[in-house]
Amino acid sequence: MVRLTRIPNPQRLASISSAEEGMTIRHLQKGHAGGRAQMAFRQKRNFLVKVQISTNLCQGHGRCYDLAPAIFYEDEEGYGQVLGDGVVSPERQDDARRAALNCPEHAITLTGGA
Amino acid sequence: MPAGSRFSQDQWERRNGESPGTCSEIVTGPVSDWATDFSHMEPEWSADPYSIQDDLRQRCPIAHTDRFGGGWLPTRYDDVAAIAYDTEHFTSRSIIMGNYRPPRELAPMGGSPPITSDPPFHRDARRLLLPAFTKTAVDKLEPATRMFCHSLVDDLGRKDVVDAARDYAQHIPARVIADMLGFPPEDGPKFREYVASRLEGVNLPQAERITRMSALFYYLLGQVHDHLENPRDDLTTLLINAELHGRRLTPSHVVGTMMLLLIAGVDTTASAIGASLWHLAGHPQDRRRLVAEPQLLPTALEEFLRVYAPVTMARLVKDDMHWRGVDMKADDWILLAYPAANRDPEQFDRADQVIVDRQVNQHAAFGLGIHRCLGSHLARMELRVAIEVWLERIGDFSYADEAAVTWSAGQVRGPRTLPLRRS
Repeated sequence: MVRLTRIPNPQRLASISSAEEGMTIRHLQKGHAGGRAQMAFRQKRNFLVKVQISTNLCQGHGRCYDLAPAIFYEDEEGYGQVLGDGVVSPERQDDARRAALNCPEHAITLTGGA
Repeated sequence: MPAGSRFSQDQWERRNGESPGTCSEIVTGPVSDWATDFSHMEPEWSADPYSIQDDLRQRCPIAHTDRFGGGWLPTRYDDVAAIAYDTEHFTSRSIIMGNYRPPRELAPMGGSPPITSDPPFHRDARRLLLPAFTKTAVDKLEPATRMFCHSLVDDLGRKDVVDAARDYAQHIPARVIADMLGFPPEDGPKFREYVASRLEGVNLPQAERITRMSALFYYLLGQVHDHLENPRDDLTTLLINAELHGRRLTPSHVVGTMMLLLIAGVDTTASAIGASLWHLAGHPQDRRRLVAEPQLLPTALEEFLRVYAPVTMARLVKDDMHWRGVDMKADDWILLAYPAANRDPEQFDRADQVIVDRQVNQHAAFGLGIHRCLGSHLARMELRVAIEVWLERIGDFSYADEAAVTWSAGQVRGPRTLPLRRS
């Protein structure tokens, strides 16, 4: 079982992709990602990832645009917004994951993009 | 100011005479059992709330007290989060757990909107303030904040022993919020008294509490009058001119929000700064690491916010209900202990340890849900600047007298006396 809340090591953090198979960060945090899903993530590591912010959940804590300013920005009321189409290049995927894993409201979803 | 105008004194006195609310019996003294008789106002709690909360999480995760007219203390992250998100069953009509409950008619605005407001009023009242508290907006205050921190260190002179709480941490947020509200900068110490009496005075007799509150009301009303005569670009003028649903804000709304910004903006951030310095004084390895790796500081500060989260909120139960195994009664308090949630081992790896490079940190120090601390970006800026300047100017430091450190009681926890020795 993967519990992302229990992984302080950045190298392990980088090895975990939540991008594929419709798996959200929330699923991973709650321990729903089994070993097979993990394997699948690793194999598809270089696929594009798309980030989304749920406007229903975002409360403007701002962790995303603090930690990953190349992916997120702050709107005029402080809510997080995704820059452009939200497709994250492979070299920025760790930043995207770090942002998602530090959002107190679990408002950020990473999904496999085309 | 002519009688009958929006902010006239007679209007104010008439309002204060209405809707008196209810008072419960004041119960103080040693706690018999924290599971059934807890109190956040007793010295054992101020000294170490964490071991009390850790013990309760194990044996009684939703503790109860008959003090303060009845209340509950959830200590698991999941329960704290569920209450924070559930504005249908829990109201913010009062957010300071004490012996006074404001009347139900005060909802949905409450006394200090938007922190005391419920949906749907809450959202519109909050939107008036959000633009002034974005990260972009508060970044503009950073240079002045940094200069002020340097001036405080200058004032410490060459003393070997300095009080990092009284002579440093407490002054920083008071000055910043005074500037934002457009109050005289020298009034900082005055606010701190008002704030302390609101937050730490919950077990005072009702008459004494009202006297102290009135002093703050009249101070703020005086500031409103000064701004009516001399409008300027600050939060007080913004509130005076703001419109909600096509009308100017009521005087209670204006003054209530000013009170919120003052109370929420001063002790809380001072506590975060003080607790961080307290940690660094006692953990030289962490201090040296942050000096050597300054880029790690923001990550470390998030960890200090998690583990020393200064703010505990409160809610009132709306109606009698059975909730997660307990029978809650209408108007029971909920002591919403974000600090307890932040140390729940079910939610955080090595929850009781301070890990300055913790990479995954979904702490709830600034709350969860619609009442996320409006000033969180401001608080983070002040905290970072205060610690950067301290580390840069003071160098190595340690406790001068660990036993002399004192901590505040009540819902905002931080060091109030923090004697440190420079080496």
